[in-house]
Amino acid sequence: MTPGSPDEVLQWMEAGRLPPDAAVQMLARFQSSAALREDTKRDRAETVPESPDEVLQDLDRLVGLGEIKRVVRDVRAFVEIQRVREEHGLSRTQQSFHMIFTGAPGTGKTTVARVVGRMFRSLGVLSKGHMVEAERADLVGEYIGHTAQKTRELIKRALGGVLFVDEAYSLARGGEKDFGKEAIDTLVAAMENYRDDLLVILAGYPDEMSAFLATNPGLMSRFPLRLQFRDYSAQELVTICRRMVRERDYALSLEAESGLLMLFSDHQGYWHKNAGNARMVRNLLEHAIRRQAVRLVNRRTPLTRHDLMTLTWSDFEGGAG
Amino acid sequence: MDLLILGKPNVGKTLLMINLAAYLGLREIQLDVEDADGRSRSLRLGLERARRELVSMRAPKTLTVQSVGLEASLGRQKVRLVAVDTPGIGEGIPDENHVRHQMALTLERLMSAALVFHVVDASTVGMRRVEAPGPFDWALMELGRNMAAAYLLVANKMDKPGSQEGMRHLKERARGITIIGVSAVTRRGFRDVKSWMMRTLA
Ligand SMILES: Nc1nc2c(ncn2[C@@H]2O[C@H](COP(=O)(O)OP(=O)(O)OP(=O)(O)O)[C@@H](O)[C@H]2O)c(=O)[nH]1
Ligand SMILES: [Mg+2]
Repeated sequence: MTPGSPDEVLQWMEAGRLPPDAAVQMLARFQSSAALREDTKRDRAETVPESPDEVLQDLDRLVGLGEIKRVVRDVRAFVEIQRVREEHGLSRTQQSFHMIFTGAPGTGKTTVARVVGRMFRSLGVLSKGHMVEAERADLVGEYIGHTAQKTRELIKRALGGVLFVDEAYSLARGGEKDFGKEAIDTLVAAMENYRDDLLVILAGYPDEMSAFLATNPGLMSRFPLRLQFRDYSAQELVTICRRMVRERDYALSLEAESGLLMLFSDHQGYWHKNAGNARMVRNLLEHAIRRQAVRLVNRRTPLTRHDLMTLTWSDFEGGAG
Repeated sequence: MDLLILGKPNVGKTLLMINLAAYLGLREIQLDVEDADGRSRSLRLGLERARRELVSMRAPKTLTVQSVGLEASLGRQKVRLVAVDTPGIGEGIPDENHVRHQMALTLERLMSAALVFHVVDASTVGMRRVEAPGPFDWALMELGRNMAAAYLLVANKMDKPGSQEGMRHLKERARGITIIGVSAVTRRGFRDVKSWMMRTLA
């Protein structure tokens, strides 16, 4: 039997099953597969990392999220001032930046988490700033020991960046005997061990999240930063939609815009259960683009550039169904 | 970007890191040290003090992975590098858990580092000493061959007797690998190391 991956090689060596020379030989074998060389090339291409200002500009470009933008700026200020203090020989306040994001789906949590990772990288707090997304199935295993192993592997991938756990409370779903508990414990241990090069963000619906934290008091103190993602307003959703449309080289007709504003403001009908959800806007738009194509293909007259670009209200009507 | 410095115990990794940092223009060293219990601390040391406290007469001295942030001016471009000094890795399987843990951490960093300095002691080639090049070094050189541009074999202690002889032997083994002879003490060879870094990062 031999290890099946570089990670396993390291595990075997750590367990005392391999001397270092054999471990390096095996790593060399895995390494000659091109993937890793690609990685180092990419790393080297990034000799000029983004500046915090550049990252914040990207954050500012996101629609809405006023309160969140403010908190992220505060964090940036804190980190920079701590560094300057240190340069003056003053002590550094050790502060962890693990975060809780609460909000409904489609309120920008994942997008902001990515930006946060990049920002910490630009500030030199995280070495890579990438993000690994996880949910219960990625962390929880099927038998004893499996969970810790799965969780640790995921953490390894997230090292240097952000581990984003969506619907974090589902880890506590099965009660005391469930392996989810083990995943939480492993996660907390890793947060201690790699405290300088790993940022953990737990995300989910506000109510479920509060209940989850209340039953896991150990977690509370480890996640000092709480960000609340409000549902987008109707106007914000229209702005988001307009941007998505533009990115795809389309444009909204005037009646399409006002129709969408009405739809997004309607808290009674179809839209109600998805109110404030930017992801649904994307679905809606993708359906509209398909309907526009059908509409145009059946037309006899020659198609202009304007025709090809414009999405009319009739393309949107009927929702994402 | 990580510059990983690894090799056998007592080959001069730590002194090389400190003196190279000084050569690249750093006046003070900020060390992020990871203690055996996994906590990390941040220390600021003048170069003299860093040499005194971190470099030892007896192996092994560096017990945990520690890193130094470097803002290197390589020619006209400024590059932010994190030099990562690692505990020496000896041959065979060590008994202590934490030593094996540090070994695993080091090799893990090896797989993701942008630049790798593999340091060997050229003055002990063929000897029976902890710092003498051995199977671990030969394996690492093969790995380095695949890493191509990112890997540099640093033959240290070129100021010591017997090092010329050792260097010849190393070169023999290192066909196709870039090898630079240096002395962390006298700083000879540092210019070549710097220009290698410039070329590699360009
Ligand atoms: N003559 C000579 N001695 C050197 C040179 N480089 C390092 N040394 C000496 O070698 C000894 C070990 O140096 P370190 O820098 O602590 O070696 P290390 O590889 O970091 O050791 P570990 O961290 O224990 O693996 C010290 O006594 C240094 O002064 C060199 O180029 N020439
Ligand atoms: Mg050392």
